[in-house]
Amino acid sequence: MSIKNAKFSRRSVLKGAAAGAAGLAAGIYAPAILAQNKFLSIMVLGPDQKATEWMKGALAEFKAETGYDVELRQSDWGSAFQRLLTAAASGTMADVTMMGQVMTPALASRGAFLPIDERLAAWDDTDKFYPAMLQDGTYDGRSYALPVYADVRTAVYRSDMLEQVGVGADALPTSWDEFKALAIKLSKSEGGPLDAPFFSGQDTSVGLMQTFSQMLYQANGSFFDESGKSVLSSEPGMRALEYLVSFFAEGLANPNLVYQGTGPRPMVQGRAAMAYNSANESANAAQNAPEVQQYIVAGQPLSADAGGEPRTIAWINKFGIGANTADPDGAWALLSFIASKEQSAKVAELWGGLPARTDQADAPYLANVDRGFVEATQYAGALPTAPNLLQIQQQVNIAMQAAIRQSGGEAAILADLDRKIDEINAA
Amino acid sequence: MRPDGVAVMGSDVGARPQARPFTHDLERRQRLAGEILLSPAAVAIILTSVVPLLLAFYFSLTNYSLLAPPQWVGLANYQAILRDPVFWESLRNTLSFAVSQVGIGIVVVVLVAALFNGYLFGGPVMRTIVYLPQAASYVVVALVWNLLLDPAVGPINSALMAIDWGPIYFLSDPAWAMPSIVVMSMWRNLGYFMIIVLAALKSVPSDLLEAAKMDGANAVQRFWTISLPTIRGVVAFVAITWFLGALQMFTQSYVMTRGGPVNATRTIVYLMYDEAFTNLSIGKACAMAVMLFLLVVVLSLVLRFVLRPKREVS
Amino acid sequence: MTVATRRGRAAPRIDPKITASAAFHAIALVVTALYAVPMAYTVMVALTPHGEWIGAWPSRLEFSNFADAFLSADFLRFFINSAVVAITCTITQVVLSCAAGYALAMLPVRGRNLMLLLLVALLVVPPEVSLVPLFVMVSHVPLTGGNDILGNGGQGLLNTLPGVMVPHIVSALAIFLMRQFYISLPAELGDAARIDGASEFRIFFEIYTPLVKPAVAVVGVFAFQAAWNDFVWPLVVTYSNDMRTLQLGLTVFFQENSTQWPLLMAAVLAISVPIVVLFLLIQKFFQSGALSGALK
Repeated sequence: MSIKNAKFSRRSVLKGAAAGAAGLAAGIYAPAILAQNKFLSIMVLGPDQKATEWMKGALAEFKAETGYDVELRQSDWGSAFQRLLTAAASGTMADVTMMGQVMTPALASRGAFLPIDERLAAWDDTDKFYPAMLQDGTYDGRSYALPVYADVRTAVYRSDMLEQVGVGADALPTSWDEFKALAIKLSKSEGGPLDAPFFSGQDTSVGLMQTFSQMLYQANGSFFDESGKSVLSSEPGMRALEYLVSFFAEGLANPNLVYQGTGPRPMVQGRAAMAYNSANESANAAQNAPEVQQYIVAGQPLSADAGGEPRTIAWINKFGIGANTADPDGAWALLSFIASKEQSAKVAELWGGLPARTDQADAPYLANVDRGFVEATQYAGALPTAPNLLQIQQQVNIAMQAAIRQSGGEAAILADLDRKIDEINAA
Repeated sequence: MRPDGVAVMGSDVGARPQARPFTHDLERRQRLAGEILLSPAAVAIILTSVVPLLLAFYFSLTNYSLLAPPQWVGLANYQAILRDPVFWESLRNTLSFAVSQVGIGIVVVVLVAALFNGYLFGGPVMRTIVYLPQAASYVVVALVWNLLLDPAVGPINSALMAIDWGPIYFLSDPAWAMPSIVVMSMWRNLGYFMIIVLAALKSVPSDLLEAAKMDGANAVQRFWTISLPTIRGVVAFVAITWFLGALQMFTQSYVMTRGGPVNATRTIVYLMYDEAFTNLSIGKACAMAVMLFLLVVVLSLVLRFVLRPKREVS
Repeated sequence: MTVATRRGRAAPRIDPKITASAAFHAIALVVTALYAVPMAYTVMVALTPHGEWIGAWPSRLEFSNFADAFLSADFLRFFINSAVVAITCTITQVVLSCAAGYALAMLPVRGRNLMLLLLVALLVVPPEVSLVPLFVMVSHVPLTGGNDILGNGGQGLLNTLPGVMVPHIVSALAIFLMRQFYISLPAELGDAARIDGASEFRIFFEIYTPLVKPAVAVVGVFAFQAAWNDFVWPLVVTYSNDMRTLQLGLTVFFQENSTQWPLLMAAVLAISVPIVVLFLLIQKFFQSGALSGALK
């Protein structure tokens, strides 16, 4: 053992540590340096692998056009809002961010997005968007987002299974009673092919709440009254919930059938033949079981009463500019690129929605999508633009999960929900 | 996060006597060296453990929301939490997860360790296979079990359907969801605790066992009357460590069920996560963290008292 | 003891010992199968070609699933992130806990008993308790991520690899463990070296630390595992693909419409291999009982 050596090695250890610290510091500051180059970020929600690959290609194209390096961020829908909210709170929003329907008011009310009214006024393409969808990107009188696709819901069927019980594509239900009658016909107890013909949209997100919301609208109900009080326990709410629960109580739907977000949806698997869904069902078939896609047909949205007005809901997904962007012009360039005629149709196709632009009403991919999905658009309303709707829909979804597993008690569940929702809005 | 390191059976906190006062100078040098060696770790511990703990207490008394600076609200967060039925449900879920996993698990661990302690042909290989999953993360094990339990493509339901018993909706039926997560967690953790108990069994004095054997005691009797009392302390240590770790369950619920169905697998930590990162209610989330902290401290004291090694009199 | 007489000494042809041994073997095999079968099933699914029904015997073994899993969904990036985080944290934890453990065991440091008490107290603090406040702290680290000197205005260390490392750079348990090992070594070794004129640091590094190598290995593997397997902290502290770790990447893989089980299972296996190998290497150490001995 030599003491000289020991001293020497100690010094080199110190040197190493200093180098390490410098490296660490460089790592921390790297993003700040990059930001001075032409650098942007974009956040997309719920892309599958195909969509991610396409997005990377599109961003490369954008770079070739503008010189911007774009960092791609992504999140699944399940934790999307959490990520956006945390990002908004800590000033780390991407320059351009995708958002779902109910996220727009929630985030805009917290100042997460830049208003884009002036840019819209100066842009040639603005009048190419469906006005109602553009309107959906506004909060408190200002525009924050450009729509890229609409998730228009309607009644969806498996035509091959309907055929087995002698129901043709020309005799699809238009009212609740007819829809229920069809479910009964399809059920095993009546000699049909299925244990649980109706799939209620239950998933690890808020699919069940979305089905209930459509039924609420079909019963001419709404979430809030004029003063903003929650009115789910009023007559239309009761009617909608009782109708939803009756499928489970009568054995026409299975409360434990939950789409785990992976692979084919229950209808594509052939475990159900009726659901409230959108062209997403068709896209899911295209990806997981292409031979089934031809059997996915869209009926007219239902109405609660025979001869009533069909009603449904569209979830409109959009892109907006993060309020903390260092380069608003670059962000707008990226936003208008994604919402352009060519790119937005691709987004609509890959995310399984309908185009948000009138000049893409005949986009080629729509040839494989049942026309019914497109036609349902005319009956579509939107959810209220309440800032707390995200929390609220979570609560509604959990309450619905409880409701479909017990029959009776609907009034108590809705009254409890009203109380909870008012509490959330008051906080 | 693994369950180890949560509990320690008690330790000799006193220091080794430093009976070498060569010179005053040596002592001074040693003290300086000690401070140089200790201070980086001390600073790191204070910054990553002590300060966050104190901050949790402070934030829990404010309405901090990340978006606006904290304002003092006293015990309002605690009151709100205690009034919320979902909190009590989550507490019940958390406790039933911990009690059932560890209650059943500890018996299985001791039995399996005893089994592998005897002579077995191929024993080391079998033991290693049981030991493997605990190295993998909860995410990995949860994803594998998601596949195993899947109602449409999973092998367990395929088997059940073949004998007309299925499908069982393991993760979407409220009655099955938590038991499924308990079994999966136990499956993962068994190997780690088994190895510790096994090591203790190996240290049981062999002359005692030989003597009992001479007296004609069979393997089961030897285990029951000699081995088990000897390893009692280690078993208690394992039980406490495992139990306190289980009170922090989150990942399994997040990956497998998202806290559902109908809150059936929502735990305290899950609720805290939602409160902080969905509702941005840092104050409320920290109040839950403080309550979790108190729960762990109280339970670890109670468990240590209940499971303390008794002095053998006979 | 009355046990002996009941069973009788003169065993007939079939020795009850052999029956018992057969029964033990059977039970052990069942227990092992409960582990081996799911693992083998995972391997089988991971090797199933795309488009084939999973769970059925695959028509051929598709080893390219492993390559595909790594190439898709930015997995290589996740892998590098996880490796950087886990290796750095292992190094810092080992260095800090050796140094502090040695000082607490062998040197007359002021406030030593207070520090030891603090460490023991911290052992019962669940890491989840610090989750939210630590997130707030990390977002307010001064002069990082656009923050000013008071830690306001920017994102701090959020969404950076150093931010992901924060909870794992030091561990009270590791320090405590190392202290337990050092204290079991004789003081005379150091005294002899001191007479030879060795410095305190050299005594620490060249005399004592080589004697606790197995403990260093265990502390290192625990540190690596904690960082490599962590899920909750990276989940809250990162938001871009570039900073995600493998465990998070897996759940992204699992989301949305087109999850392919074979690729997912291939990824699951691939990311578990490093940590499983490390645990196999230190298995012997657990069996010697040294760990639980040190903890008691």
